[in-house]
Amino acid sequence: MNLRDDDMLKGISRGDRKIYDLVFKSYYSGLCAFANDYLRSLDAAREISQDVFLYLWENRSKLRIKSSLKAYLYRSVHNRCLNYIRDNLTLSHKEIRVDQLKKQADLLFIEIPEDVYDKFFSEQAEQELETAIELLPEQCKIIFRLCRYENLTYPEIAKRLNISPSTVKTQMSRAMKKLREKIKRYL
Amino acid sequence: MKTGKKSNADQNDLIIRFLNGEASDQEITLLREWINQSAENREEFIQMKISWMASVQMQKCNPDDIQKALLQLNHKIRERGKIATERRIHRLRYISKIAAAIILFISIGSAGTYFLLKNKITDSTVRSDNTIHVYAPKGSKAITILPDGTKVWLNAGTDIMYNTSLFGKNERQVTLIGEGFFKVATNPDKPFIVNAKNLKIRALGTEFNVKAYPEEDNVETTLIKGIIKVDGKDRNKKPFSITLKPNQQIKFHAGKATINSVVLTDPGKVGIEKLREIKLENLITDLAMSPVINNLERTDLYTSWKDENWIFKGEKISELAVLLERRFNVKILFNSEELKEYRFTGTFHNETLEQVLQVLKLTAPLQYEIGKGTVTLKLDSKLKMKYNKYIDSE
Repeated sequence: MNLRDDDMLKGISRGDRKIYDLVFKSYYSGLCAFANDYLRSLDAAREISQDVFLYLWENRSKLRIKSSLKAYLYRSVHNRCLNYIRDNLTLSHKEIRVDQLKKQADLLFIEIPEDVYDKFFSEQAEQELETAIELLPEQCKIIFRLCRYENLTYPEIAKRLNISPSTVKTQMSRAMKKLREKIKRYL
Repeated sequence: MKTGKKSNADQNDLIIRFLNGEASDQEITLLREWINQSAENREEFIQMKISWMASVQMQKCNPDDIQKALLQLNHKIRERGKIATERRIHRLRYISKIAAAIILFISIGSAGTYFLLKNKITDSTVRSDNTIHVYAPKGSKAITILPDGTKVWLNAGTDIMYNTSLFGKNERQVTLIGEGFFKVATNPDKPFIVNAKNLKIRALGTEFNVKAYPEEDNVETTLIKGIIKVDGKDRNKKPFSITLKPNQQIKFHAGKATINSVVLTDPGKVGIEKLREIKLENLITDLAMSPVINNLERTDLYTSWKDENWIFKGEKISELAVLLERRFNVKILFNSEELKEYRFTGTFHNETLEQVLQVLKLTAPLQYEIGKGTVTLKLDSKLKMKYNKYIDSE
């Protein structure tokens, strides 16, 4: 089933569980990965993503979402990650490597333009980026996917594919260059 | 120029490794310095970051993981709803939206699920009791997902209870009054236990059906998949433990548990603590017989109710009447003892009460009369003669 974004929003606001579940199933993976980029902890990422959905359900009738639902979800996860790190900076938290995060929080949360979510977190942008990745040379594509979608580190990828770490490095740069070219056109 | 380009490539590499969480502390410091050097550098970093962020959308987890997460989320929604209502009132029936949260996968037309939430101090040990009830009233069925992911189909007039603070701690215990089909989520460390009357049915990951209606004497456990262990005590209070294999059924005469019918009429009226006491009494006074094990050719006769199908094989009309009472929430009266002994074989799907009665009429010499909440079955002597003639001539 393919639903338009505002149909999803309307469905959820009137309490349609089927649509809500569908939205969850389509966006949950991406949101977790997105949160994991900030938190470097899958458990914390899952918790935050679920909390965003929980909030969405509990406030479904009063939410006024101006952007697309997808953009809203990503922005919410971003904000929650930021809060999560702020709240945990003073605590010694086992889940996330706080010290590590503290050192890079300013860079992780470097200010990005507000409209980024609407521009790049949409079905259309997703498709375009996917095509861009699809068009990468085979090895480059595999390396990118292992890195980005299976959360492997460079040494892990090198070991898995039995290639040198410097190849991983070059291929990753190559893949990112292509993506950046795509992105640049929209900025 | 050449060195400039090289350092540019290195810079890109560093940004990517930073985004992938692989940059060392020293490198992060270097990167920060580089970003703060010029607006250009900053812009470059932001573009890389956006590319990195946006590519996350294509991440697709394993569907099982998503499903599991959805169950967890449903559980959270349910728990939150519970806390919110507990603040206001002690007891609340939900038929609406939150119940819908746990009725997943299949939507059954008239399914209604009630939660009866209680938070009371019980018995002498003084602890708060976080018992959750899932209740399918007569005339409807329900499906519930327990916090561990176990799926339970509740037949009409069935109550399932579990303690939220204990469930899943060391084991997963539920109490069943009525009939349920269990599809247990595998977890070897935490056995899943169904308490039905005075039996304990233990399972790991498996599928089985338990029928333990208070108005029926038998507890009937049918195993479809996996292994279960049934523990109880026989008439002489001697404990027994029987392991069932798939396609086996154990019938156990457990005696009438009178209190349970009270619970079924209005679970809200009987406090949990009271229920416990009386249950304990039942345990002591029950005249339990020895269990009987049957090997079955087909198990669907015992589980078909959950799929909207009803399969009957040589069932007495008096037994069928009990099922009809639950399914349609009516009282069925017989004005003839003889009629009760007729047997029926067949399958029903989504027939209405009247359609079912019409079918019965074709197989047994009966007339029916539908009143307000009652159905009276009468022996039709003329029809009987006609049927007898037909049978004789065959």
